[in-house]
Amino acid sequence: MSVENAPVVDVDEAAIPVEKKMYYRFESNDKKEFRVSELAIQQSETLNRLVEAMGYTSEDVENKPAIAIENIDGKTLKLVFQWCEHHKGEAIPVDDGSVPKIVEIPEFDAKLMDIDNGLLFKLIWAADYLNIVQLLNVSCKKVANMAQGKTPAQLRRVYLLPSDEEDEAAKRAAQEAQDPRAREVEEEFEERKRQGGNSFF
Amino acid sequence: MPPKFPLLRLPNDERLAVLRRMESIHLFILSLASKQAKILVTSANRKAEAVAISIERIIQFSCHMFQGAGFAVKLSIWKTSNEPRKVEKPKYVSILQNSRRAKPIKLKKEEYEVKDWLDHLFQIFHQKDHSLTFGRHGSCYDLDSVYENFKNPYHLRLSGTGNAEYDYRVLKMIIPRSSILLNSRILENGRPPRDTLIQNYDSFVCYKNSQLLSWKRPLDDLLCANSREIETQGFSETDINKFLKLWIRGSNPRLESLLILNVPFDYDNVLRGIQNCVLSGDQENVFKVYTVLDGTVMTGAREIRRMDGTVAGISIDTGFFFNFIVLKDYDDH
Repeated sequence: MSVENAPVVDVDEAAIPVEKKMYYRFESNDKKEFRVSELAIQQSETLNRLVEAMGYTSEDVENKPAIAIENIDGKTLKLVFQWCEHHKGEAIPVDDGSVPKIVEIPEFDAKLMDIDNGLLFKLIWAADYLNIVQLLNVSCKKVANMAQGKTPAQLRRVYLLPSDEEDEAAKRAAQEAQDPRAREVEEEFEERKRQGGNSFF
Repeated sequence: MPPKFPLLRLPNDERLAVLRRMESIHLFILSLASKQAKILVTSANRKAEAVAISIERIIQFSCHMFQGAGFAVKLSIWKTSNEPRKVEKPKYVSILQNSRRAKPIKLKKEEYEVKDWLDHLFQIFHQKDHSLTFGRHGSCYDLDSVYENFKNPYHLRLSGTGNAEYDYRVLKMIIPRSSILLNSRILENGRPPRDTLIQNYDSFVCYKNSQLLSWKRPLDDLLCANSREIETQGFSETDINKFLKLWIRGSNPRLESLLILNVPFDYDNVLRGIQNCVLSGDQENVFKVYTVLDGTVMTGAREIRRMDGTVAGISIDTGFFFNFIVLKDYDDH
């Protein structure tokens, strides 16, 4: 798809620059194009490094092809950039690896993440891929909050976790699929034992 | 219909990110969902700050987490006869969040004995130690059975089960590894047994109640105490003066801090016949580092020195606290 024909999704109407600011163009894997402010990009460590390395001028941004983000679809990327525009200029939390994480979900983020869980799954994946620390924080917190007030059986259903029995059955099936001969040998051995044979070989 | 989220399909880092943002009570409940869920929760590496077991009418495990975000597991063990209850498989457990008025979640796990519940908690929250508190009506549980399940706590707190004979048996049977807190109201003459005093605890705390001025304990109780830190009551200025003279000559070599409460003290009486000097401002700062009570106002703290060269700081706060601390990192000018 040519740059001229690409659908342009305005991420944040209010964010249209009054003063001259650089807006980068990105393209999702389903060829949707997004214009994102330089300040919003800083929320993503991955994209920030990328644009720094590219060293584009204002003319380059307009004339060169949009930067392709091949792992993320347009629907997800739209959410990501909406989030980045809303939180542009905010300090990026430092993830020191310590636990637990105390995270409050702001109202804007809660509304943004009022989406189906398939899309939420992709949003978490994208936040991690693009290294957007605070978006990863709030999206993971949303998933963590699904556990509220649930019993172990309900949590199995919420998080689609197999029961011990299902897990055992899956393991057996995997073993058998991996080595069907081992199962045959075992059956042969049992049969010979039943027949009173002294030696298997 | 509840939401569904394929947690296991998330890459490892993101899955851990979700678990690290989950409240501890939810992690605990999730860990009971399956063996795989237990492994998953354990991998989140959440560490409990402490696990406290309290034995009252109901046995409760309290899991204390960072910033008070803990929860409690109450074990429902039914009484089946007039005999003291054995600490045996609970009919169900109720799980309650510490800081909220949320409805408790009742759970059953048929195969779990009491010890299994505790081990599960230890395993997923990477703890090995527990403290043990006996409170009101704790004597309704068979002590042998309590010992069998919860022996070797690092801390024992005995505030009185309401059965003096049972309380003495607790003191005899359950020897904590690190520290003990006793309400001496439950003890005969308010005196802890000698066997308890002579233990090498890190901390020994023995209080009575507000009726303190009349409570007198023999100096021997202090001289035979072998703990590093002692907080107690019941000693007069004369006792303290005698004790300090004996400490200078070499008694209580393990003692690092002593706090005696609720007797009006005066430096002149406490230090009568003992060579001492006023701690300088700098020395006072060193002393403050070791002070047991936060916010204690110390003025005119004194220094005494024992015959082997060990230095201790002494302060009397608002006339009612006597505070003695061995200054280990003391820079001898």
